[in-house]
Amino acid sequence: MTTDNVLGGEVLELAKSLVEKLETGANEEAHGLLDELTKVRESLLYQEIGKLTRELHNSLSSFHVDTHISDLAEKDIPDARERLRYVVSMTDEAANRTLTAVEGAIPKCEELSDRVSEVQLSWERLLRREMTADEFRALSTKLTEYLPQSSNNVDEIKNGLNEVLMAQGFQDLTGQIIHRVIDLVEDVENNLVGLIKVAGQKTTAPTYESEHADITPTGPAVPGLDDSGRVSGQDEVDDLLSSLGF
Amino acid sequence: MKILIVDDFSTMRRIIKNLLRDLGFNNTDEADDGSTALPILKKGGYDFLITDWNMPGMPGIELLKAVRADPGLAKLPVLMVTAEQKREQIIEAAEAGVNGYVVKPFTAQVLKEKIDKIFERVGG
Repeated sequence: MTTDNVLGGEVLELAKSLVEKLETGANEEAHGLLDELTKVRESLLYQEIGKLTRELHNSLSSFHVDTHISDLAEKDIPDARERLRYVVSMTDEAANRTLTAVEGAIPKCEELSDRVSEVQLSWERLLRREMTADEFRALSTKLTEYLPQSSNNVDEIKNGLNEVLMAQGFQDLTGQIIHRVIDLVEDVENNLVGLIKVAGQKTTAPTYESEHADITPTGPAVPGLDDSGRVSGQDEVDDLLSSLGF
Repeated sequence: MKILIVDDFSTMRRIIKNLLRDLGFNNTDEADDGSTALPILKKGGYDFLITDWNMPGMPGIELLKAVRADPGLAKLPVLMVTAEQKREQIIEAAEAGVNGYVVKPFTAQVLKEKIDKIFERVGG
């Protein structure tokens, strides 16, 4: 370090002339040189103390900034846990909705298929002119009954398919929630790295984003976590908009 | 009737696309955020815009503002379909000139109602 060299050189110079003065018996001047040496030594000491003090201060203020870490531990991690639980319950609900719809639609398909096979057999007999008048009357009665039933079945299957379609909305909502949790994990990682740096070596304190502004996207609301300032559903959105003249 | 659907999640775009087809709207295009949607809209020919809010790149609210600021697009009906449900956000969207606001998760019925309502108002 250059300051040490400069100081070392200065001390050496002073020491040399001190020896010279002592040898020549110039005691007064020797005392003066001794005082000077002490001063140089003291200033060195003060500089070291100053440096240590600054480092200590920096480390302490870094720790101070890192109250964010305790926020993470006390608030954000449990919050993330709740969000992930909500993701689990949403995917569970979506899977069940889909399965229920499929389980409802499959028997309707089977009924349709059974009726088609039955009618097809009779129809082929009719085309081959193997059908008696009585049989034809029976087929006609069946068709009168089957056609509206089949039409109902098709409607029900279509509803089931729509239900399956709508249930897939979970992917968007859970995706948004999971992205937020990933952001949190990254934040935790950065903080841990920062903490290691502070503990090991002097470093610049990690910077943190300020609180989100009100209209920044916050993603899907998780019940019990995000209730304040939010509407609870489409009806409230409609009420709010109509109060604004919509 | 040509409709542009803007959402960063392709699953949501597919859901909306299928619902629209069910409602008789077969001519739809997709974009994954505002910055890809805007040039598509500027090419012209769209009668309706359905957009999400929270998207990387340009969010839906900025897309809405850009649409309203563009003389060629200013009158385009815009329906926001989003998980954002803070009061401030809904007010912000209303002030920016949104025509309808649907919160996710939504039902096919709600989407239909809002679209019908917008066309009623725009037509009348």
